[in-house]
Amino acid sequence: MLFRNKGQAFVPDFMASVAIFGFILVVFMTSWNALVDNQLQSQRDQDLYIQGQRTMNQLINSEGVPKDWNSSSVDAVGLAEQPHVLNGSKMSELEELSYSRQQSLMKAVGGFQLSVKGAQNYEVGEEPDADTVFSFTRFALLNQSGDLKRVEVKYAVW
Amino acid sequence: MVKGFYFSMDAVVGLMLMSAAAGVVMTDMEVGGIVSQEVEFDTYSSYAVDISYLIKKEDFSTLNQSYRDDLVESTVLQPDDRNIGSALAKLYSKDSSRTSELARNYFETFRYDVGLYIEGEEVLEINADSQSSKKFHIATENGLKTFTVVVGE
Repeated sequence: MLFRNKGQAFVPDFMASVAIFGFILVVFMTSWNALVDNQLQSQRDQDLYIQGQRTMNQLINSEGVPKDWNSSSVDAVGLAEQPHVLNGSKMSELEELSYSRQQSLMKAVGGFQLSVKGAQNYEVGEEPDADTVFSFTRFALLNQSGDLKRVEVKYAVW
Repeated sequence: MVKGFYFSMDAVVGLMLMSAAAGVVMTDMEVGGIVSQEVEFDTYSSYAVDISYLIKKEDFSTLNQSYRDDLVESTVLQPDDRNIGSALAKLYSKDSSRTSELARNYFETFRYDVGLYIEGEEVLEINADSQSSKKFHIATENGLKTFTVVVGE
């Protein structure tokens, strides 16, 4: 009889402790998963930001590959003829490409939008459509038959 | 019940320790995220680099015609002085009080606050909490002049 009473006392204690422990564990696991998701998102954002910066630098400083590329020969995109001096015909050639080809050249997996505004305007890509969009704005010069005019280059990536 | 309570306390203490450890790990991982100050600083750095290129290649067409004419008439600048960087260096060499005026008028065409130092001497002051700078050289008839452009907001 004494043995049975002890067992009866132990079971509710044990159940209560398991319930409390289980509840706290669920709260902990939920918070942990949220934190991990948050960190993964931060990492993805950072990768996207760094890639966006690289692409922007490449666009305004590099000639691309080959040097005098056109829409059928381009291997790597670059709009410059010298660092910070853009070539309008390269921008026109870029406009000729399909969006998926532009996207792959820009290494913009989610999507991108590029605009050059100033003496002459160019725009390629799509309207931003994501929760996280990184936008970069730089100044460069556009060569218009030897006359260098300032342009604002905007590149958004998501 | 008392036994059960102590067992729960153990669990709570254990979970607190795990949470503290997780907090330390997460704080360490935070370094990998995008921080707004980092983006801001990168933006200023990029603008400073852009200005260092543009100032060497851009001509007076960014400034209004009457101001250009006035500069040519009343300073050492010649009508064929077409480059902003060279013009600033030329005015600075002749100790012209108009160096900072030209710098101010030119830098007003940019989005952020811009300051300028030539040979380490302040030409245009900048009051900004956060700023980034770029040093470069401009060739003049008296040799290279060191320019430092500071961008901030």
